Amino acid sequence: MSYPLSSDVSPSQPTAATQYNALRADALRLGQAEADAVKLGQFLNRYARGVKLTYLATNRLRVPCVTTDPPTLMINGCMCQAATNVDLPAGLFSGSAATWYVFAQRTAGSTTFTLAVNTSATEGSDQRILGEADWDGSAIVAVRDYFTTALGAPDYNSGWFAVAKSTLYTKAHGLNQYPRLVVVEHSTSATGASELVPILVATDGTNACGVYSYDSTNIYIQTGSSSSTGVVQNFRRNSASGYARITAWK
Amino acid sequence: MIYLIRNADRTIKTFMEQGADCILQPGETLEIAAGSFADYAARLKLSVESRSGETVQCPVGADVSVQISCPGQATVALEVNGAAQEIVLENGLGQLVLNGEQPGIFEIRPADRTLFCAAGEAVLTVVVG
Repeated sequence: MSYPLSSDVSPSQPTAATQYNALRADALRLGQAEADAVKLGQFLNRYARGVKLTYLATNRLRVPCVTTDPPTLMINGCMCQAATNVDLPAGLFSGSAATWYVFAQRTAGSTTFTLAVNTSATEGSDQRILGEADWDGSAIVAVRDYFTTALGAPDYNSGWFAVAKSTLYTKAHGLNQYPRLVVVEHSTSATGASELVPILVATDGTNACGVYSYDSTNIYIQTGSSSSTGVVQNFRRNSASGYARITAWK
Repeated sequence: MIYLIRNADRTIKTFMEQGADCILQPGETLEIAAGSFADYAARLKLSVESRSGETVQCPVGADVSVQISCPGQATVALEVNGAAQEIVLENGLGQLVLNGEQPGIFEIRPADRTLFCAAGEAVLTVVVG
């Protein structure tokens, strides 16, 4: 289907029903058939970008405004955009420890939005939920932003395996490409319950060397020959034994 | 399930939570055994003051007591810097005392490495000094 469906009309030319309908289809569905596309307003109903919920003070939160990427989101079908930082006023949290949900709130007659909090996660008709904050009874102790893209779950996880000095461990990561990120961790506990130390450097007793490498198929860990630092050398821990786990992202 | 890699000489190279991703070196073989990773790891644990799986630093002077846990066994054969010692266990627990009068490194590992993997918490290095 060509786009746009509608075309210019000449002055004094009567507007035909087909012209009106083509123009309407362009406006609502970018010219596509009703069976093939949701309406533009529906498509953008949950649109948001540039929205980041951050801690501001013990009882305040902020959505900062970056002029090159201002907080922009659709609330109840209205396109809202903030031109300055949007701050939650003080004094809205109260009571004992609880999780409070944070909303962007639009008001008729305004193109921007304000912030509101509630212990219920249910959105009001003119609200979009942005995240949540943990309130300990006197202060905010954690903020979770629903719009921030977190580092996702690894595409490869070796699970824990026992390690020793002077040994090559080869693991097929299954990503079919070079990983963009590889993390190798060391634990003294088989359950991984200890403090985790990244395995970056091990030694042969004299030289400290990097431990792992990878290609599009495998991740390789080569431990060193030192009895005390053959697996990991770190200010937090030295070891020539213990357990390792590899995670990788593509 | 627990996954073991054995070296060509049948000694256990490592044990793993999962095995589908391991690439064997020439001569190595993969075995699958029943049980959990944590249970397998607990078959032999060497520790000093509850520290295992890492190098333990001790000051010169006092002897160092290495705690041995090997459930279900009456004795366990260990190597200390390559010299074999048999440790008598009571209810699977025993002790090995290292002379801490002089600076030195003690590397302790199972003598029978076809039975116990010389990795994880079954290897302990004690640095005196």
